[in-house]
Amino acid sequence: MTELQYPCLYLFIGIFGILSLMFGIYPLIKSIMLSFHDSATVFTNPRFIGMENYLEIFGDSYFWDSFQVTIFFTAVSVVLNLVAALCLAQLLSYKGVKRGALFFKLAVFIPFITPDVVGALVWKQFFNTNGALNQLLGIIGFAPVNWLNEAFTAVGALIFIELWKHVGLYTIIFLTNYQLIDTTMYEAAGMDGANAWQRYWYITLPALRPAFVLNAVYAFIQFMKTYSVSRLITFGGPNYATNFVSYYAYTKYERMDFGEATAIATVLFAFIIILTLVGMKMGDKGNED
Amino acid sequence: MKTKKSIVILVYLVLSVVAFVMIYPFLWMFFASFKTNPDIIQNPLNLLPQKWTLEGYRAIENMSGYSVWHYFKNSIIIAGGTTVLMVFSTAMGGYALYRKRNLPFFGIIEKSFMISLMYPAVLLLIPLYVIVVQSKVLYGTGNYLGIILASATGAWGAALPFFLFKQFFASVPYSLVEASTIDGASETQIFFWVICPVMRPVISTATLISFLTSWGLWLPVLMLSKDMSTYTLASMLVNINSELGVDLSQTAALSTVVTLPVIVIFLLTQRKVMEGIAAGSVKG
Repeated sequence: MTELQYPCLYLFIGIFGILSLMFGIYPLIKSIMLSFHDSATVFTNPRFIGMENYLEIFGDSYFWDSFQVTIFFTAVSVVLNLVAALCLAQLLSYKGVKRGALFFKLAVFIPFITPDVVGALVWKQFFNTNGALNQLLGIIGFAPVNWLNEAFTAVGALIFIELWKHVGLYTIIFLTNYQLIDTTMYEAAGMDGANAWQRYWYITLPALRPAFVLNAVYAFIQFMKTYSVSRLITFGGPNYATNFVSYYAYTKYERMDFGEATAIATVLFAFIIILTLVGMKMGDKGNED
Repeated sequence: MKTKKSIVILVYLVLSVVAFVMIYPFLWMFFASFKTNPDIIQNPLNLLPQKWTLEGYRAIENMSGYSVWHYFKNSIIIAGGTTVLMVFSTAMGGYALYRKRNLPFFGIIEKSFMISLMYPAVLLLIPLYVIVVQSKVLYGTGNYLGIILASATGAWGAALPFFLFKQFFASVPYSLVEASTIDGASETQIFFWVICPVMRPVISTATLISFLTSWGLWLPVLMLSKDMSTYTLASMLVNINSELGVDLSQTAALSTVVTLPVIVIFLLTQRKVMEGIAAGSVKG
């Protein structure tokens, strides 16, 4: 009897399935296929050229520079976002903060929920050579900094802007985890004579493990794929300093270099998926201990 | 206990500085939309305009031959369409996966979804562009279909509502469904009469979050639009800033128009939105 009703479930999953397969996995496979074909022939009669596009990008020093700066950017951003979010969650859940607690929480979260292009454009203005930040530096007696025109400060500025944008999400996830901590553990520890630091180190941090794993995986995927800030603020510059992998592939696509663009995308995707699986496995293992 | 007061003051101080950094860009943007261009450039540290003007708003009345209301309407259509499609597909898909996850193809569909989350979305648009353009039905002047279909997938915003529903179904006792099957209810009846009523709060949360995240989408819109007839506010904001000689007061005015609806909706529903995003994320 029930066997006959399962077609109904296929109907339920139908739209989700079509969207995931047609607009998720099919373009992904198509993209990987494109990376083995000659760009010039994509729209007419794709010509298979094997690994040629890959050899091309592996021999391209811009690609390696781009990969390097993306990994640097991701590593710094993941650590910075997690540490900042952990501190913010700790401050926001501090018992002494009663008045205005909601206001602070909203303030931290607002950049995440608003359109990314708005924040990017305002910060671009602030970091401008004649912008607010340099004026502020001038008032307290420092020389102006060429924020977006020098490699190191440009990467730093983008790291900051992305922190401003995303830290709210990671903070909320830590806060949710905080509320799940069993408070009787603290009482027991207090009776055993543990001080504040010991309680934090032995109870709070281990209890926050799920949020750590989750945030780290999210942040890793998120920042490896960074594209918008390059496109909106620095255009990959100065001198390719913020030429992140996604952005570099995009510029290849703009030059109709589909083969190399998709080869770069495939390499990035493989890198993300392998590291994510390793990370999740490590996270799971910790949970079983 | 004496030190406690100083700690409280310190915590308040740090939180105030953080809140200031978080909010100031929006305040600056809002007031800059009432400034003249020279005022914005020459006095970057001033928050309030020297002389209030509506120049910026006049500059967005007509952009590339369309009024700001045209782009506003497109934002509503695309964010609204994406939201409906996203919520509908993830709610029913999530339910089917909860009800019988071992049916043929169910596993492949879920895995496809998870994998597409990891592919750089910008680059997924390259083949999507080819697919959408070649299909003809999904592409053309005033055709929103391709943009909405592409935006409603995991590569953009569908992850949160999907995990939100997954999280929700995990909390639904399976006996509820089993009791109904014993009573002889069909799958459709179970879904619409047993599951949907208890789903109402999570559907409203998912709808809210999906709308807020879809509102600011600009990349799929720019790449899958044939012309400006389907541009949204956010994509127009990117567009007017891609060229040299940016009109800052116009940019600020358009930024304000894009942001204001989001901030108003968010402030009215903040509890639901923040709890929903946290719940959806924790399941992932």
